[in-house]
Amino acid sequence: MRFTDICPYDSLTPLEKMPYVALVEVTKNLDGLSFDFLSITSTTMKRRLSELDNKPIKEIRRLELKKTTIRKCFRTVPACYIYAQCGWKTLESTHQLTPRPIDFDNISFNDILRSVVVNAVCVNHTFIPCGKTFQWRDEVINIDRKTLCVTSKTLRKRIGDLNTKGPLREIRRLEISRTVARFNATRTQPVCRIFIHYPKRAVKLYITDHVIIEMHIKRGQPKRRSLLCGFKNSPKQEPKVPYTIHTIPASIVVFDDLLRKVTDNSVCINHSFYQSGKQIMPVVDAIANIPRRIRGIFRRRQIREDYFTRLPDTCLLEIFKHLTRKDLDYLKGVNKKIHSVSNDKSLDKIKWEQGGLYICQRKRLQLRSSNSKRCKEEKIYIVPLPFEPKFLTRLHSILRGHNVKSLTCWSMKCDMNMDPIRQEERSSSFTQLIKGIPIVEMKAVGNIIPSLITEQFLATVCASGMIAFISELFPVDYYQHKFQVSESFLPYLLKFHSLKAPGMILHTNWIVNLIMDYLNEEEEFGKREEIFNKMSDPCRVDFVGWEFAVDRPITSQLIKQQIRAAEFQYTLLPTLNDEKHSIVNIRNNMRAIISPFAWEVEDGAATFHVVEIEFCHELESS
Amino acid sequence: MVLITLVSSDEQNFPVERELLKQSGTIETLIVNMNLDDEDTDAAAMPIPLPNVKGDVLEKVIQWMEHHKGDPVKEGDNEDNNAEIVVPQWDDDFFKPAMYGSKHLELTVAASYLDIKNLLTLSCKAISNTFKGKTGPQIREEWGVPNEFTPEEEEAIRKENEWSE
Repeated sequence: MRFTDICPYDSLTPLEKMPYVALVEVTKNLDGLSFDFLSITSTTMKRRLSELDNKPIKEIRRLELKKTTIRKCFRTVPACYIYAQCGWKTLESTHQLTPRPIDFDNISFNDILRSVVVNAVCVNHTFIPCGKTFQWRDEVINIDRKTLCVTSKTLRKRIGDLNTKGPLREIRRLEISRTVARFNATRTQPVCRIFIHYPKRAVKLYITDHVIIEMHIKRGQPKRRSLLCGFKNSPKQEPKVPYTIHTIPASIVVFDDLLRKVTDNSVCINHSFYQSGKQIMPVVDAIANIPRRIRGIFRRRQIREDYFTRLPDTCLLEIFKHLTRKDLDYLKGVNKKIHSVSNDKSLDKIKWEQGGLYICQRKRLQLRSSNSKRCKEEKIYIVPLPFEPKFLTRLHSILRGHNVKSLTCWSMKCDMNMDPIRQEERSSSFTQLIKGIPIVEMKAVGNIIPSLITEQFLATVCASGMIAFISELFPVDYYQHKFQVSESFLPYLLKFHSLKAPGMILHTNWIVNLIMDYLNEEEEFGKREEIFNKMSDPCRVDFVGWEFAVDRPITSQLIKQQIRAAEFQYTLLPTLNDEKHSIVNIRNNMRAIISPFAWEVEDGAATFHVVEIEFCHELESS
Repeated sequence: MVLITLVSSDEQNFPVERELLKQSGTIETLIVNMNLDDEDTDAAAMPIPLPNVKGDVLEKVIQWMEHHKGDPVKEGDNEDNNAEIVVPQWDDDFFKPAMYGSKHLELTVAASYLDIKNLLTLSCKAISNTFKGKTGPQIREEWGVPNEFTPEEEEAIRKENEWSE
C-alpha cells in the first residue's frame, strides 16, 4: 500500500500540502549517506539507510537514530526514524501498511497521560529517555499520579512534581519514559512519548513496522484533537512514539561520521537525534534555547583526540605564520590556547597591513573599509559620510579594530537644522570617535566642525593624547562659532604640536608668554617631533604650530614689552604685504614665527584677528 | 662514510650519515662541540642522545632527511613569503598518513627541537593547509579540539572578526 492510497495528495488543498511533516520509517535517500560508519547491528536499520541512498528527498526535517540491540528473540524499538518533508506523491513504502483511523476513546492511554493531553496545559515538557532528566517550563494541572501506570517511582515523582505549579497553556512536547527493571538490570527503551502540536489543519501519518495510523484534523476541531499518536501493535496497546512537532528549537545533532554526512548534506535542516548511546551535541544555533541543565547531557563526541593544542607555542606560531589573516580570525575561535597564541605580535605582519585605509558608506548605516586587513599606525581616510551619531558610533567601532595614528575626514554632511539635543549627541559621538587618535585633520566639513570645537572639546581630546588637530575651513565658519577660552586652557594648548582652530579666541596679552613657555619645552617638543617623524609620509602634518584668533592685533611693541630679553631674541621680519615676528630661545635655538592677519567678516563691518605661530629650530628656518 | 649514532628517548640507536645531519642545527652544534668531526675522534663510540625525540619519530625524521639529502639548508629566520610555500608531493604524501594524529605533531615538535628548518617549514605548512578556508567549529571537529568558549565568548569573537567579513 502506498501513502498516496491512504491520503491522495491531489485531494489536499494547497494549505494542507504545505506544512506536512511525515514520519516515515523507511524513507528515501540522502546523497552520500552511508551506513558503514553507523554503529548499529540491525540489518533492518542498514537496509533502511541503504534505501535512503537510492532516492533523494527534498528535505529532511528530522532524523532519529536509535541503537538497536539484537536480542535472542525480539528486537527493540525501530532503529531509525526519519521524518521527511516532501510531497505525498514521493512517499512510498515497501511495507504492508494497514491504515486505521484513530479512535480516541479506545486509545489505551493511561489516565494520567490523557489528563495531560486533554488539559492541554503543558508547554515543552521533555522527559529524556534515560529517565533521569526532564524539564518543564511551567507545570501541568489535574494530573493524578496515582493513575499513572508506570512502575518507576522516579517517574511518578516527576509527574507529581508537575502538579506543584500553575497551569500551562499548551503541550508542545512531552516525553515520558518508563524504566523497567529486567533481569539483566538494563533499561528498556522509553515506553511512550507524546508530542502534541497544534497545526491549523493537518493530516498526519504515523508508521510503525506494521501499523499506520491516520488522523484527520478538520477545520474547526478542538485543538486537542490534533494530537497525533500511534500504537505499537503490542498486546498492551501502549502508545509508542506518536508524533513530533515540525521543528523544535532545541535540535540536536549527533556527531559521528554518518550523521556528519547527513548534516553536511544541504537538504537537511533541523536534525534531532535521540540519545542512543552515542554522544550528542546541540546544533550551535539552537543551544541558546536549550535549558542549561539539559545542555549538560549532550556532549560532543570526540572524533579525534586533541593533539593539536598540545603543541608548544613556538610550533603553533610556526604553523600560524603560513596562514592568512582571515584564517587566523577563524582560528581564534577554535580554542582559548589558540586564541592566545594567535594574538602573538609575530603574526602582526599577517594581520596588519601598511598603508592607508579608506572608509566610505556602503549602504544606509553601513560602512565599508577599502581593504580587509587592519591598518596599523597608518592613516585612516574617511570620505563623505553623513555626520550622524549612528555613523559616528559605527565608525568608532570600526576604528577600534585598527591602531589609528592619523585620521582625515572631509566633506562630512549634515542637515542644517540641528536641534540642540542632536547637536549635543553629535558632539559627544564625535569626541568619542577621535579621542586617542594623535593626529586628526578635518577638511571641507562645512559648518559642522566649527560648531563642535569648544574649549571643553579641545581639552578633552588633548588629554586623550591628541597632539595635532587641524581644521581647514572658511573664516566665516569659524567666525560664526567663535569662542573665548579661559586661562585654564593654556596648559592644554601647550601640549598641541599642531593646532588649527581659528574660532578659538585668546587674549593677546597671553600670547608672548605662551610662546616663551612653549619654546622652553624643548624636550617635549622633541618627543612630539619624534612621534611625527616615526610616521610614514602620508601621515605627517606639515604644519607645526598653532593658529587661533586673538581679541586684538598683536604688535611689535607688545612683544617687545613682554619678552624676556635675557632669554629670548625678538626680530621683526618685514614681508611684502604684512609683517611677521620672530622669537628665538637663545638657549636652545627654538624659534617661533608669528604671522598675524585679519579677516574681514560681516560684509566688512568687522575684523577677525587671527594669528599663525609656527615653531621650528632656528637652523631649519634659516 | 662517517656514521654518527643518534639515541632516541626510548634508547633506540640510529646510525646516520654525517652528511645528513647537517640539516639539523641542534645536532650540528653538538657534533662541533663534541669534536666528532676530528679525525682522531671515534664518532661511532660517542652516540648523541636525543632525550626529547622518541624512536619512531626519529626514524621518520631520518627518513625525511635521507630524501632531502643535499637540499640547501636554510639559515637564520625565515623571511620567505610563507603563503607562497608549496609542499612538494613527496612531502605531502609523507605527512598525510599521520596528519591528524599525534605522529605528525610529534614530528613537527622534533623538527623544532632538532632545528631542521626545512622539515619544520614544510610540516607546519602541511598542517596550516588543513586550516585554509575552514571555520572555527570545522577546525575543532577536524582536529578534535574541545570548545572551551562560552556562547558569549564565541559571540564576542565573532563580532571582533565581523568588521572584515
